[in-house]
Amino acid sequence: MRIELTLNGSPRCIEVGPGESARDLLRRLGMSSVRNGCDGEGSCGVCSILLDGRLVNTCLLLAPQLEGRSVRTIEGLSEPRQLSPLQSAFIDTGVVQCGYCTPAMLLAAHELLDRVDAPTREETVDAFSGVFCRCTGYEQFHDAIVLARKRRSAPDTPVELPEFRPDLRHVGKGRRKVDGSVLVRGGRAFVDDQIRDDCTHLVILRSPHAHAYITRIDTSAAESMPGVIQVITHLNCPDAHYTQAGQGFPEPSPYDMRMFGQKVRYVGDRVAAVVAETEDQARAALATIEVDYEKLEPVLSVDDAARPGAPIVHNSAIEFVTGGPDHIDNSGADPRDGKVIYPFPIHGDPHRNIAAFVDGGIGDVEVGFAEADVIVERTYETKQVQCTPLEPHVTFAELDGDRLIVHASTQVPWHVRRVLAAVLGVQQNQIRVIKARNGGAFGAKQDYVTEDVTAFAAWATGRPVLHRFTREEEFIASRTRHPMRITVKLGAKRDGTLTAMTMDVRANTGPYGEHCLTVPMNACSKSLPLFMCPNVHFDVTTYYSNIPPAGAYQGYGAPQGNYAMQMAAVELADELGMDPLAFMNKNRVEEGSMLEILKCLGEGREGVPQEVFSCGLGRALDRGAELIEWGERVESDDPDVRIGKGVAMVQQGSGLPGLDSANAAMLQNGDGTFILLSGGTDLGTGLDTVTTKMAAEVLCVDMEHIALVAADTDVTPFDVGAYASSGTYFSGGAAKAAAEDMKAQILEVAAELLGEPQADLELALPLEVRGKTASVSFRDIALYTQSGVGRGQLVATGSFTTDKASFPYGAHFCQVAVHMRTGKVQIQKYYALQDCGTPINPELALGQVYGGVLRTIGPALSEEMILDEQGRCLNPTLLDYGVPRVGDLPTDFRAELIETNDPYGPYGCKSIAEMSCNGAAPVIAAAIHDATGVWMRSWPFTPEKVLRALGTL
Amino acid sequence: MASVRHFHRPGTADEAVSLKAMLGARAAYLGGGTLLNSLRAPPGIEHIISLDRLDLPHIERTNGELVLGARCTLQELLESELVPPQIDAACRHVQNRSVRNVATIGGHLGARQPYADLLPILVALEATVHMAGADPLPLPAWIEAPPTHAFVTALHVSTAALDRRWAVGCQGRGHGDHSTITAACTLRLERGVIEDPIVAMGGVGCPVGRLRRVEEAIVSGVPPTRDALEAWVCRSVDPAPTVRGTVEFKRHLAGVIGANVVLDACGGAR
Repeated sequence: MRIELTLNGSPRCIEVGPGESARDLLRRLGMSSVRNGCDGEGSCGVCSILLDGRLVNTCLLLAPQLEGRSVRTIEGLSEPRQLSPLQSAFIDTGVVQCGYCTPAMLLAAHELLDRVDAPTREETVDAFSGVFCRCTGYEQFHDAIVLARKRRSAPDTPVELPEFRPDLRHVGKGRRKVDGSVLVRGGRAFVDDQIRDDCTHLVILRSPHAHAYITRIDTSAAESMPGVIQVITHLNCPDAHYTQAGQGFPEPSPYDMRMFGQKVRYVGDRVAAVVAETEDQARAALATIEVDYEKLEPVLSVDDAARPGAPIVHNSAIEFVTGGPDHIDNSGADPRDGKVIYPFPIHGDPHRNIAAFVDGGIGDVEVGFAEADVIVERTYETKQVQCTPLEPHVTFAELDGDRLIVHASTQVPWHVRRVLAAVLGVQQNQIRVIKARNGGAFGAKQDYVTEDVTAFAAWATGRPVLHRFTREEEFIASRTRHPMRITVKLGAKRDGTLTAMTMDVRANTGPYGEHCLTVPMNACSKSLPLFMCPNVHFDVTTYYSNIPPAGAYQGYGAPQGNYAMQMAAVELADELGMDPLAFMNKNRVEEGSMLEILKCLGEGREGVPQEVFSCGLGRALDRGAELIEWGERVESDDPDVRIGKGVAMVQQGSGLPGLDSANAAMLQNGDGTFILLSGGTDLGTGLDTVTTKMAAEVLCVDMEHIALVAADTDVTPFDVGAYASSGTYFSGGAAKAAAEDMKAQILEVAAELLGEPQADLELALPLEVRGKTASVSFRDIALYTQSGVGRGQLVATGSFTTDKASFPYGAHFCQVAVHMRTGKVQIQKYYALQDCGTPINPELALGQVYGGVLRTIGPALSEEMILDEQGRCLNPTLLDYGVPRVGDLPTDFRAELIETNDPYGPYGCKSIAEMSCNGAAPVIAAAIHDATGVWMRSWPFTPEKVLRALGTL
Repeated sequence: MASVRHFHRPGTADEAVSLKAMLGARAAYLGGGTLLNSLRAPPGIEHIISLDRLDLPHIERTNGELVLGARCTLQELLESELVPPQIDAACRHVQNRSVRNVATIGGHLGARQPYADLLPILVALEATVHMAGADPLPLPAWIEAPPTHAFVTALHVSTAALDRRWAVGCQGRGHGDHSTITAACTLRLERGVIEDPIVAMGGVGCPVGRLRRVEEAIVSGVPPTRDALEAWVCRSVDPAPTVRGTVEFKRHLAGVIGANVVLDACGGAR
């Protein structure tokens, strides 16, 4: 049928399908800003348009409903190479992170400012209420609205931002995000935007059972369906065992899965894949596949897994690539289970459902507890939560001649290439992985959950193949935060001096062992070292089970560990009759501390003690206490409401010293400008801006003089990827090193051209080298080096590795109001004070803090994957799962950056984003206790749990 | 939606009803937003009967009645000066503005969801459902058994009902989530005595119902204590467990919110 509409001011007459969604129509018409994050549920809003001036979700409309209507998208509100006041305000205030929701947020802001001259905070919340943003924590959108209003009348109004490092030109100052321009225009930035018209579609048949053998599978009907190109099952997939964990090789995760196995280990596990010309054809074919299962009892918890006689999730033949015991008893293994291959020993025992185990300590905890006047031992539980990036996992693979090109929304392009080469049995130079912009990742995209099968299908069929998770698949088959049960025992003298600490972590990794050692270990390594104690011991045991897969999620075990550790500290302080803040200050880490415990926490290799070279924790605690008026009790006017305050300390690392590495290269162009080739993988966090800024700082040029190409395995140098808080520190360090190499080469050539010693030369604006007697422009240097008599184009390289650890620290404070009848917890104030060394991009650093905090306020208060007794996830939608929205912000929400100058971080930087995730649960729980007297020892702290703790239920 | 093959745009209400009668379960009416694009959409819908060309009422006050046209969106209700504050307050429980921009009154009724925030106050105001293809029905009767093939054209509320004391309440897990419990109460207070109370609640049954035992307990009496009210409400509801709470929690929450709306109505939310 034909409809007429006005699209961005132009009348259009278009043929549409009667059941076509308005969203699909607009994408078909080239509106790349109209995106999909919830599959028609109407909950994410990234498909928003202005329909006759009102913001609506196009996924809730059919295309024929656009008949006679006026449709505006962000494309219609954008000018080429010129930003509107609203677009520039969004970039300058730091609200453009991954950019997936940015067009929708811009439309909401546009509509608001057209309707209301001076919006209140409540009106702004209402305007943005339809759009879900997982990155930003929303707070800076209020700043963006204020700035955009000012720029309407005064276009040059600067953004108000804290600035750091007055000795530097770019670093520590607000500069526009280098990819901001394409993102605020809704440009073609994501994998969905790279798809060819002739691409085929891959969909997965998923297991309805949590634990079962496939006894028969018949795909013959599917293979004969119209449009079907290929059907893949365990019978015809590559016979390779691997891990989907994107970690450095050799991975500390077992190779315990095939692309398709004969055993399914969770509801949602892969059973078969269909590749067809259209998605509808693929789904129709999927429905015809016949599968018989031999059902097994599911294992859903660590208690289930540890029970004697428990069903064995991996009754597999166990092998080791290196190391391992002299004798392995595989006599009881079932060949249908496949293999578990450990690259090196991590002390797992799959036949007892143990995927990994590690223990260690310093001092003598028996002695320490004997010296203690007060001992507390408490157990805390954390539930399974989902990363929920707005853009689900998506991969598009195609052949270019005999090479495989993979467009992936990934955090780890080089790990993807390595594993794809191994699985397909080809050389790495036959594969090119191009990281598109990530529409949110948060750890979930550290694992290759779509890349392997998509690449295989493209390789096998020769056809371009798209595989995009549905939102439900993103919940059940992506990666989640490990549920953990953590017992902490603390001993202290009467004056509050800690004498002993133990931590027993029992983690549930689910069906496969991705990150099974490192995430639970991180629960210890990012929480124990916050306290200086001579006697420490930890045990970490990770169990296989049949819940949806766990893996990396920002914080990487630290949110769970720090919740337990900080809460136990507050409980101990309470037992001692001591102010928790005073207790923390008495026992906390400080500059110069030697962290002996880290020699036992080496991520699968031997660790080393680390000295703390910079630490802003004390200042963070002081500033937070001042802001929240620590020690002053607040009473509510409502007799049903109690108010309390809490404090928690946080820390993280800055990459993995001795494990991570990053590389970059620079090319000089003919006019003296530069191309920076960075291996760094920007997830929306601003890494590309960091690398460009650092290079510009070194070369004394404007950032506009450097064009960045990043994260393309054919074009840019190797980088381990974006995880472990490594981006700014490692990838930034590599860019800085490459720029320093370029600078050295420029000075060398300039010295030759000017006839002056290098020691007398300096780089200067604009793009020149200044000597004592004369100067030479970068352009002339480039023309000379690239001429027939020159030395060749200036090409610089830089790499970054280190054995030094730079730990970021912070303190979180909050004030909550607990309704004693409904159990509802309202966060009235939340202050996050964080030391990231030198903040390279202040506005983006603040955005990382706000976002990280809100991403963990969610699991602290409401988020939880709820499984039934058969392991089925009951709430695999954004709405039922309960992600925080703009209206869920703390009433007073503030992030502040505590500046330190780390001696080993590039320009004194340390990481910032991940540690933001480590404070919300303990600080809210502590505040609930302060308000009500009850201890919340299991997240989320739902109204129901609060009422149970209060004894009301 | 893959299964939809035909998009009908009838010009009259009779034509629309005839189409629905002929096509039965293979057809669905469409006025505003739809979940038909969802992967979880009900299968087998092949025909869409769009109501966009029909001459349906909007929002008006006439003949002692407030008429809310079925195609009005919740946002249009909020913006209309004709809509009284009790309906306005219930509309605000739907906190997602983009949803309010496409969700119509007709769709709100038709979805028959237990979290339908507008329904308790409309029940408490004794709204009448007017339809094409069927005679008007009191809202509770319509909720109980909506006539087959008919579609809602408007809700009518007596302006006299708008003079009753009222209160609305709800609690969800967070901003933008469906309400776990939603409730409304209207009543008259004659010299301190409660008369003609109506207490309606969603989230405790499907989709919204009156708590008649509570109404009977409070009628012709002075406002009861909160504890007594909570106990009556708890005993009057039979919620189902969902991801938003267990039966025990929902019953407790129903008690708290139910008591709130009754006491607020007595205390003078208006």
